Amino acid sequence: MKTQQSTLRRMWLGKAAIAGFAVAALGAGSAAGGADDTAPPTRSIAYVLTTINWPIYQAKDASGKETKEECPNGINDGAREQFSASFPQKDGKKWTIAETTVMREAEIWWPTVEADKFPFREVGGKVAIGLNLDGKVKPSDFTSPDGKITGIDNQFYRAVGCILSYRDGSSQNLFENEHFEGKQFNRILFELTDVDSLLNDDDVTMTTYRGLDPLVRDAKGEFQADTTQRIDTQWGQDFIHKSKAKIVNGVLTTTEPSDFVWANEFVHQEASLDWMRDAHFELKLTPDTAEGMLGGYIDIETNYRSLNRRYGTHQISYGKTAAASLYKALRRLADAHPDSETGANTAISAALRITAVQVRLTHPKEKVAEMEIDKPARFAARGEDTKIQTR
Amino acid sequence: MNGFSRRRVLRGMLDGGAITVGLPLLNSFLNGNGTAFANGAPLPVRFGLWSWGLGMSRSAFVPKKTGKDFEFPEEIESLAPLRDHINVLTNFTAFRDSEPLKGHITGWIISRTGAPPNGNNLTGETYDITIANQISRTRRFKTLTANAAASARVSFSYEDANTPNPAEYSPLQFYARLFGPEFNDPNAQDFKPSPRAMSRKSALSAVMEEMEWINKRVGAEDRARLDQYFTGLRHLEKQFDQQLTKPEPIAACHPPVSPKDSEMKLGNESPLVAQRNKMMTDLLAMAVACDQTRVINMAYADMLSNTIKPGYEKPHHTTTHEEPIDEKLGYQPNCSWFTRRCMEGFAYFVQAFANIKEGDGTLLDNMLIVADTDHGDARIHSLEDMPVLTAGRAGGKFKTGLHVDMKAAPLSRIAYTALRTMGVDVQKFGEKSNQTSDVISEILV
Amino acid sequence: MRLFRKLLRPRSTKRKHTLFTFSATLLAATMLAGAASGIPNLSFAAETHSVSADASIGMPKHLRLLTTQQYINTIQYFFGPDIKTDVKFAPLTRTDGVLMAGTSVAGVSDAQIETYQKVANIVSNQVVDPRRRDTLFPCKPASETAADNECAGKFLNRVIDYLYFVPPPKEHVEKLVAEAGAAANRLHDFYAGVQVILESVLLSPSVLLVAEKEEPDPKRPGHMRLDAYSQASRLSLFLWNAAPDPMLRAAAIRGDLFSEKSRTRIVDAMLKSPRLEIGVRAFFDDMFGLEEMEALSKDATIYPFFLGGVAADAREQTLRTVVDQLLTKNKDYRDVYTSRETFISPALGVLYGVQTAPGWLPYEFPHDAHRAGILTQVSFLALNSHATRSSATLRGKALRELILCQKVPPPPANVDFSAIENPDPKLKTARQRLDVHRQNPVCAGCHKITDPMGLALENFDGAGRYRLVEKGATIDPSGSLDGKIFTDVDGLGQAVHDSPALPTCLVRRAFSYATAGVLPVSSEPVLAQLNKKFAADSYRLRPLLKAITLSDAFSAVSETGPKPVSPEKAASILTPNKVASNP
Repeated sequence: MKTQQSTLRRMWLGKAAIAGFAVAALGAGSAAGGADDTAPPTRSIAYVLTTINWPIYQAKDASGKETKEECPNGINDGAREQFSASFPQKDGKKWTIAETTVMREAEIWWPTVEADKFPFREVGGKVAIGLNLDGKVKPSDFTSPDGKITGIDNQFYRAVGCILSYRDGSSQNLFENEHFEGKQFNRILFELTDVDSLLNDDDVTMTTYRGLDPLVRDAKGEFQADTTQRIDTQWGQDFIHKSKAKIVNGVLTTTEPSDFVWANEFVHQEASLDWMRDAHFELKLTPDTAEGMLGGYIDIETNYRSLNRRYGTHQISYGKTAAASLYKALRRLADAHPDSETGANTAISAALRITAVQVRLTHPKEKVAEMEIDKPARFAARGEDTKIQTR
Repeated sequence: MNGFSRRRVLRGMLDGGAITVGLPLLNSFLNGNGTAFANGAPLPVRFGLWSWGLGMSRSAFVPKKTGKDFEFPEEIESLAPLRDHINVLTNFTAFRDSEPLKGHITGWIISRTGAPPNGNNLTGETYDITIANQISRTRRFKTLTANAAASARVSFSYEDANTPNPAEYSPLQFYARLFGPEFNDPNAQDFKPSPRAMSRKSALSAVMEEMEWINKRVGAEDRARLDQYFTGLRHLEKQFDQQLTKPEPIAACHPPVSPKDSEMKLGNESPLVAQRNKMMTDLLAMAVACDQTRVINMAYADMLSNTIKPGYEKPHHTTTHEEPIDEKLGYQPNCSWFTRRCMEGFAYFVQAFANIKEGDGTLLDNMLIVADTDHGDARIHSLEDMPVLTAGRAGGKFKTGLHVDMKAAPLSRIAYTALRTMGVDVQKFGEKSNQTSDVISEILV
Repeated sequence: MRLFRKLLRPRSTKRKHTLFTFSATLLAATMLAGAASGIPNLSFAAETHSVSADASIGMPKHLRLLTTQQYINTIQYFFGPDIKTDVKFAPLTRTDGVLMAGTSVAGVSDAQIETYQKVANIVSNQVVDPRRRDTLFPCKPASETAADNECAGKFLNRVIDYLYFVPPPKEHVEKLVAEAGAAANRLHDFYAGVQVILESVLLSPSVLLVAEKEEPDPKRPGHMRLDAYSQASRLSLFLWNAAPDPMLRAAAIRGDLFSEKSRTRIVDAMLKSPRLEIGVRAFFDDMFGLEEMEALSKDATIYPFFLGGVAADAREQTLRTVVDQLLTKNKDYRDVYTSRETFISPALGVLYGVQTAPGWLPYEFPHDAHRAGILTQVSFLALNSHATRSSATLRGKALRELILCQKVPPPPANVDFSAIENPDPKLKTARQRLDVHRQNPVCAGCHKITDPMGLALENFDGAGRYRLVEKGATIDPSGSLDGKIFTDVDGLGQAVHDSPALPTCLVRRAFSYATAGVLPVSSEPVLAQLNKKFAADSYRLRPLLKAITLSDAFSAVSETGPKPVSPEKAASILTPNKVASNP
C-alpha cells in the first residue's frame, strides 16, 4: 500500500531524527543525516540518478594547478585540427567534397581498427580513478590517487583522458550533466529491496530501471529528495537489471556483476544509450542520497555509436574529439568480452561516478518479478541502427 | 499643385477631413519652460531595454568597490564617462528551478519574464510589454523594437509566448516607419489625426452615454463611485484627444534625414554591428524625443552572437566556448574583446539620450534604461553572477553612479523594480524561485 | 420546500429584532472578553435568536464592481475559454471576513479604468481575429473592407444582450452599430470597425458595474425588493461567479424570478450546472483568504522544498478538497475539518511525503498521518505562518476569525516580542516560547484565545511539513478549543468539527458573500433561520445555497438608513481588551 509506505517513511525518518541523527540543527524537519540502523519502510528504498560522469584523473601540483603529467604527449587534436592537417589549403589545391568531408564522414561512421594516420595521445600516467574489477594487479592497471586501491581497471580512461571534451571544465561535461538532468529520457533509477538496515545488511537486492518523471530542484537549487518516479516498463525494459548486493557501514557494494544501461539523450531527441557490462557498484547511502562509483566494461560499439549520434560540431570541435581516432584507441585498449568469431575484445574497462537522491517509486500494476529481467540487453545489436523510442 | 499628390488629397478627405482643430486640453500642454505639464504634472518617464549577448568576464567587468566611488574595470571602461548617468549591478542569479537549462535562451527569458522557458517558449509577455501597456498604449507606437544584428529574428520583446514583437533590423526601413509619410511632425504646420483614434474616441463617447441610465439606478451613497468611473473614462477620452490634437511643438524633436542605401551593409563584422547600433540608436532616441513611443527595446546582437572580430577565426559565441582562459589575465581575452564592443555600443546608446535636451535637463533624465544579458559566464552557461546596467534617473526616481553587489539576489528584482518605477502596480514579479516583491532600494531615491 | 419558505416568511413585521440582536452581540462580546480573562468553557457568538423575529428583512442594495475572476469568467463563457485575459484588477478590501463585500465599496481609479481598457483592447482584438471571427460572428459582412450595419448589428446585439446587466434602450444599440459602421468605413475594415466598438463596450460601466436597484414588492406592500435584473445578477455572481447567462437573463425579463415556483426551478437548474463548482470555489477561496497564497513565499534556506509551485498547488488542493467533499460527495460541511480525503500533485508530494503522479490524484491519508481536515493542509498551515517559522498564534487567530467568525483583538502596543523573535536558546519549542507570552498578563488575554488550538498544529512546520521535533525537543501537540481538551491535531479537527460556531460561521460568510456586503444587525434573524435549516439539512452545502438564494432576505431590499454596523464590528468595538487582562 502506498499510503502505508508514506507513513512508514515519515516514521522511519522521524525515529532517526529523535535518535539524534544530526537533524535538529537543520530545523526544517529534514532527516538528511546519516543512515539509520533499522529497516526502511517496506524494506525498500529507491534513488534516482542526478549526475553521471567519467572520472578523469588530472594531476595537480601543490598549488592546485594542473600539471597535465598524465598526458606526457599533450592533449589530442580534434576533428578540426585533423581536417586542416589532412587537406592543406596551399598551392591552389582544390579539394572536392567527396575527397574531404564525405571521406571523413565515412571514416567516422564506418570506423576500422587499422593503424591511425594521426598520432593518438594516450594517458601515460599510473594514477586513475576506478575499481579493481578482476582482483588482479596487472602492468596496465592503475593505482588510485591516494594510493589505497591498486590494480584499477580503467582502460577507457587511458583512451579518453587526454581528449579535451572528457576533461574537467570542458563544455562537454557541462552539457552532459545539463542534458542528463534536463532530458526526460535519461532518468535512471535503482531500487534496493530486502533491506533490513541502511547501515549493515549482507543480502539486499538491487534493481535498475528507467524512470518517467523529471528531476526536481529545491528552492536552493539542490536536487530534491522524496519526489515520485514512475517506472517505465513499456519502453524501459532494456534498463531493468537485477543483482545482489551487501551494505557495510552504509556503503552498498554489489556482490555479483550485472549490466548497467543508461541513457544519453542529448541536445535534440537522439535517444542513445550506453552499456556497461559486468558492472560493480560502490555507493555511500543515506536516507536521502546515494553517491559513489561503479566499474565495469563499456561496450565499445554502443558507446561509439552513442558518441556520434549525439555530438554535433558543437561538441566534436569544441571538445577536440576526433571520433575515428578514438574508436581505434578504444578497440586497441579493449580488455574484455572477446567477439566469438574474431576473438577481438569488444568491451573496455571503465569507471563512472554517480550521484543520486532518494525517490518514491511507483511500480506498474504488473509485478516486477513477472517481467523479463536479467536478460542480456537487447538493444546492443551491433551494426544496426537500433531505434529506442522515447515516450 | 506642386507637392499636392492625389494620394494625399484622398487621404485627407477620407481620414482627417472631419477634424481640423483639436480641442484644447489642459493635460496636453506643457508649461512655459517645458519642465512639466501646465498643471504641474511631471514629464512622462520613458522606458528602454537594451540587451547584449554572452555575459561578461567577471574579473574584467565587475568593479571591486561598491557604492559611489567604484572603478571601471577594463571590460566596461567605455562606460566611465557616463558614470553620473548609470548604475552597475552585479551578481544576480536567474533561477531555472526544475526546468532544464536551454543554453542561451533560459537566462534572457528569466530576465524578461521572471520564469524559465517552458520548452523553448516564454510563459508570458516580457515586462517591457507590461510597462508599454501601462504608459505607452496611447502613443503612435506602443513599443519599438530594433536590433543591430541585421536579423528580423533577434527580438527579446514578446506580447505572449507566441507573439514576438518583430524587430526593426534595417535602419532604412525603420526610418521609413518612424519618419516616413505617416509621421505627424509635432513641429510641422499641417496635421492629420489618426482615423483609428478618431473611431475609438467616438465609440468611447457613445458608451459614456450609458452613465446616464446607470446613474438613475444608483443611490446617493454610491454616486461618488460612479463619478470616479466617469472621470476615468473621461481621462481615457483625453488620451485619445491627445492623438487627435495637433501635437504641441516639441523642441527636442528633430527628425533625422533618411539613411542612405549605400550605408546599408549586412554582415556580422564587429564594425558593421557597431555602425548599425549607432544608426538604430539615433532613430530610437529621436522617436522617443518626438514622443512617438514611450517604450523601446534594443538588442545589440543575438544572444548566440555571431559577431566577428576581423582577423580572428571564431565568432563571439564560439569564442566563449572554445577560447582557453588566459592564465595571466584570468579570462578569455577575445571573448572579452567582444564584450567590450557591446559595452561601447551601450555607451553610445546612453549618450544619445543624454545628448537630447528636454526641459531643464536631458531626455535621459526622464528615462529608465535597463541593459541585460543571457549569462554571467557564458563559457559555462552560468545563470549566476549575472550583470545588469541601468541608465537614466527615471524622472528623479532613480539614483545613479552606483555599483551594487546584488549578492546572488534573483535577477527578477530588476524587472520588478522597473515595473514599479514605471508605475505598474504589481505586487510581485516572476515565478517560483524568481518570484520577488522586493525593489532594489539601493538605487531608488 | 414550501414548508421552508413558510419558515422564512415573516410572522410578524415588528422590528424588535434590532435591539435583541444587539444584545446578543453584546453578550458574545462580553464572553469573548471573558475568554481573555481565562474563563474556561466559554461559548462564542450565541445564535439564540427567537424564531419570531422577522427573517424577511432585506439587505442593503449595492453598486458592485465585477471582480477580476467574474469578468474573466463572463468573457470566457461568451467568447470562449481560449480568450486570453491576463489581467488583475485592483485588490479588494476584506470587510468582516469577506472579500466580496469589498466589491460594494471599492472605488474606481483612473488606473483601474486603464486596466479595463487594456483588457478590453486585448479581448476585442482576439474576438475579431481571423482565427475566431467566423465562429464568434453570427454572419459574414457583405464586404470586409466596408461597413455592414446589419451584420455588425446582429453581432453587437448578441454581445450587449449577454454582457450588459440591464438591457440598454434600442436606440443606444443602434447608435453603437452606427459607430461601428462609421469606424469600418473610416478604417476600410469591417472587423476593425467592430473591434473599436467592442473595445468600448467591454470597458463600459454597463458591463463592469452592477447597479442593484430596488422596486416595490407587490406581494408585500410596504416592502422593497431587488428588480429582476439585480436579482439575476446577484444569483449568478453568487452561484456561478459570473454575469447571468442569456437563459437566466431572459427568465429575469419574463419576471420568472418573482414567482416562487419558477424561481425554485431556476435556482435548481443553477445548482445543477457545472458552473456551480466555479462559484463554490470562488466562495471558499474568499472565505479561507486563499488570495494571499499568490504572494506567499518561504525562506529558501529553511524550507528549500517549498518550491514556487507549492503555494499555487496548495491553494488548488484545498479548493479541490472542498468541492469534492461538499459538491461531488455531498458531505456534511463539518467533515471538511476531519476528512482524510484530498488530492495530491507532484509539487505537493514532497511536502506531504506521499507518492504522486503527474496531474492531480485523489488521495486518502492513512489514519495515523495526522492529516485530517483542511486545517492540516499546506494552504492553511503555510499561509498562517511566518516565512521562517510556524506560528501557533497566527494559526489560532485564522481558525478563530476565518473559520469560526470570532474576533481576536489586535495585540496591544509596546509588547516585548524578543522571546519570539530573539528566543532564548533553551526555549526549544513554540510552546515554550509562547509560554513566556501567556505568563505576561498583557499578552495572556489574547494568546489564550489563539494559542491552545494553534499549538495543536505545531507538528507542522512553517511550510506545512510534518515534524515530530523542534530543535531536538519533542513537540507536544496537545491543546484545547473552547473547553474541549485534546492530545493532538486530530483532536483539534474533531473539536472544530463539533464547534457550534463552525456551521453558523459558514452561513454568515455565505450570506454576506451572496449579498456582497457587510451584514447589518438586522440580518441576525435570517441567519438564525438559515442556521436551523442548515442543521436540518445535515449541513449539506447545496441545500444551504438554495435556502440562501430562495430566502426573502436575499432578494428584499431594506430601507436605506445609516450604514449598518456588523455584529463583529460591534464586538470589536465593544470588546474592551483591557478588561480583566489589564493589570
